[in-house]
Amino acid sequence: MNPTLCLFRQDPAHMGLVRAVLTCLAVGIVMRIAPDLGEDVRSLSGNDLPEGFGPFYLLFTAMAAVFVLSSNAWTRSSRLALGLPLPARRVWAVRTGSLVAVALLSIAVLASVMGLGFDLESRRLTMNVVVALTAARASATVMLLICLFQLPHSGRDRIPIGPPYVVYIIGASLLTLVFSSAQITSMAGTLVLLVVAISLGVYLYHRVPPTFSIGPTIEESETPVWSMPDERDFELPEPVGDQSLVDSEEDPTFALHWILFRALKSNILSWLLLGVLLASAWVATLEFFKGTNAFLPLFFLTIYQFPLLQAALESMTPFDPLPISRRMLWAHSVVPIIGSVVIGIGFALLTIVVNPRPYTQITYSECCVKAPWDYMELSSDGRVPTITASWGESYTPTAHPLWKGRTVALYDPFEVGAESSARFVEYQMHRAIEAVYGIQVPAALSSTNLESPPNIADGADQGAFTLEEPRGRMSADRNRTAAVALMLLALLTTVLILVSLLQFSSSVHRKAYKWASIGLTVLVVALAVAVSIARVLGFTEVWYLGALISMGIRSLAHSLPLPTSILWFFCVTFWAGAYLLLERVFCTIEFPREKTMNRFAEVY
Amino acid sequence: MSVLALHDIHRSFEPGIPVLDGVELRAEAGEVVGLLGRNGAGKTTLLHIAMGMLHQQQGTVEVFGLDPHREPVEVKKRIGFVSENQILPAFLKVRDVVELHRSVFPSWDNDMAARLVSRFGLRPGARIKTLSKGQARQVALLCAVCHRPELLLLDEPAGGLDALARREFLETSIQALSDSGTTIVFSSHYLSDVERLAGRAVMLHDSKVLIDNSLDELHESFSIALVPHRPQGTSEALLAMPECLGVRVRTDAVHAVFSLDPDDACALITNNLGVTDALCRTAGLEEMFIEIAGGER
Repeated sequence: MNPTLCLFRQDPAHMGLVRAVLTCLAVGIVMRIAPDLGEDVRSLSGNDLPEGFGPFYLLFTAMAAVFVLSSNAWTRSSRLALGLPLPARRVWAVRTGSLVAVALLSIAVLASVMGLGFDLESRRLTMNVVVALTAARASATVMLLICLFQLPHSGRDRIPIGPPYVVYIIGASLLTLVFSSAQITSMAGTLVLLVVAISLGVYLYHRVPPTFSIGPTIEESETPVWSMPDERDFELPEPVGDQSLVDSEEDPTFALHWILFRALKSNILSWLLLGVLLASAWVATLEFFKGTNAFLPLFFLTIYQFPLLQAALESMTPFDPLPISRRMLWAHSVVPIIGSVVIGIGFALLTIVVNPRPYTQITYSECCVKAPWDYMELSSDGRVPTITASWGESYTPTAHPLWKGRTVALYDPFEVGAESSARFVEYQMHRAIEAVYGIQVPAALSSTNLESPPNIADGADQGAFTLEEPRGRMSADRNRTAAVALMLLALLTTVLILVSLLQFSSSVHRKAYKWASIGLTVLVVALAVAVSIARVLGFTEVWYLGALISMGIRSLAHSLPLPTSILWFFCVTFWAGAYLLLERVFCTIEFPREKTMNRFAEVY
Repeated sequence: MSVLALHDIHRSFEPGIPVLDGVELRAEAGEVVGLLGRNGAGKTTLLHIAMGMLHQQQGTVEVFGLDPHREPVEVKKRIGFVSENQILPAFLKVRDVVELHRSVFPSWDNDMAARLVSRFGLRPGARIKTLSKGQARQVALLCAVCHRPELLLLDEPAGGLDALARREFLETSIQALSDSGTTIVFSSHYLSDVERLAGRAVMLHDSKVLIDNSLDELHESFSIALVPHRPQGTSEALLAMPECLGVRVRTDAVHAVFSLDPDDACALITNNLGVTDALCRTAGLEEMFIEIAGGER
């Protein structure tokens, strides 16, 4: 095989392509189908920062940058390639080309998922022009950043990272981003960036020496302004002198916990994922309170645990031979994950409490009444019962077939039509309040001005319910559903982590567990992709899935003959049990390690 | 009670491909055992099982009479361990690594650690990632010995060290600990080290223990026979004799290792095969290892 192709195949960026594609696919789907963001996509304009496409441009650039950085962007040549009879320029070109490839592919996947559409009339795929232009701008930006990252020390096999380099790279990145974020959809600006990136790439190519040096070169010892000492110390070690070996003042237990924490979270990717978990928990809690799309954030909450757990396992390998209990290592692995989720939930509760708008579970306005998805109903034959008020006015809610051409349909029993009278809207509103909060709305409120929701004062005078009352807390019904939903989440998380852990068991079938773990992940992503494609093609809507899950959980919650407090007790017990069960399995696993010493294993 | 007792250990990583197949190993208090075998023979796996870091699929492991899987912390507190692929957290400083070990080993000897740091010329403030491979190995060795373990398990401890550093380490740590009664089990490809330090050699071959004898026994009771190429002196015929441990066919002769002294080996060959001009002699550990490991069995 051609050595260039061989090098490309072995490049860490190439190895991370699948990961990049899957992640971008998942993120793109969320952006596409999330109610608010999706609306932004659909109502695109030529608008630039900040209301228009600026956030999407930043997302494209950030995602590409993450995958470039996680592909050893600072390494120009592997140690293996250094020993091969290949010109350094070719090695560098392959390395840089791989980084560019992973960046462009990430952006292409994101742009495709977010910008592709299907025109039912002409039966043709369409691409949103603004998305395409934004993707082009992001691609040019990332290409320029890749070249800028590599500008210093072009004679070295890897760029030594130190404070001066960090300062340089932050400054260069900020300047590039400021320049490139102006008029994002302007083609001319994109071309300028592209030309600069390519020119810099050509310049760097010509600066690459015949062979890379693994240490500082003679010229570099002149110390240019942005240079920094090499990570590897080439000098002979200094004598111990008066440097104390241990700090006798420090509490050894604290030192142990601190070192474990640093070790397990030393990877920047772990911090990023913890941030994603926190944000997912935040959004999921808010959505759950509103009774709408909580399941997508929960989905991400679940799948992002795996890379974190994997990173934790790898970080813990050095501690395995030490007399540190597995329980402590388990706690250090999962407490940051749990902590992120708890903080996310805390932020959500804080958001609810401090938000001037009441966080109700029923959206109320003159035109419509929107109850949580849990209260939708299913019709197996597609026929929807007509809602008739006591004075004879009626309305038949819209049927939403789960799949185009099928009779099984969802409908909202609290829906009102454009022609419905204000009195009927109020009637439906009261029915929704009764269903969701289990409280009869006093008759006095019937005369309330429907321009705004019933207010606190009116409700307080009557000693009854107002829409602002549930601010910061859930209805009794939702409280019950939440307990069951969390139990199901515990079950799902436990099964997934269990399969993930069992791939490190001592069983000879560990490979089967590994493939099961990969298979589960692929299945979940494939399901999300399939639903998304079906939605684009007009066969179904993603929110149907969320509504069905919500309805199922509520139905399950009501079928359990136990009081809510007991359900919460079981929920807490369930989570504690899951923690202990997984801890028990964790105590029996074998940490991942190389079976044999391979001198090429540390090439990057 | 043996300090280390591995009985009928079976372990494989893939179905049908055993790495260890019924391995037995015992080490008594104060004993120094050298573990030999080709790459992939299972030495590392065996030491990891002894540490409780890998689980045997069959058989029993006892360290100080305890099961390292049931009481891992208790067992590990009394063991010093250096792995062939020792990975120290790269972002830690030498001082941090020492601090970490001090926090988990109650018997940690600060003075000994300070002396070794000084002797190895390590900088306490240096980060692990800035150390050379040999220096990182020295840090790992230091951490393995400074809590004065009752059992020291070393997997290729001298790998990556130059001759001087290797000798230095072996003299300062292995010999010192051995003199104070620590049981030491170490694997090494430096057979001269095994001959110099170990009292007993255990050789793993084809997933089993092929040799488990004291070095004196190996020198006195094992021999190499150089059997000239004859129709009756084939490798198959030699291997058919239970005392023959391995055969390697060379251009000059067939080399066979026997668990007999030279005279008895020659007598056996003459009686069983009718070959009268075989040359039998004692052999060093390295020669024996090459003949067994490089030949067929």
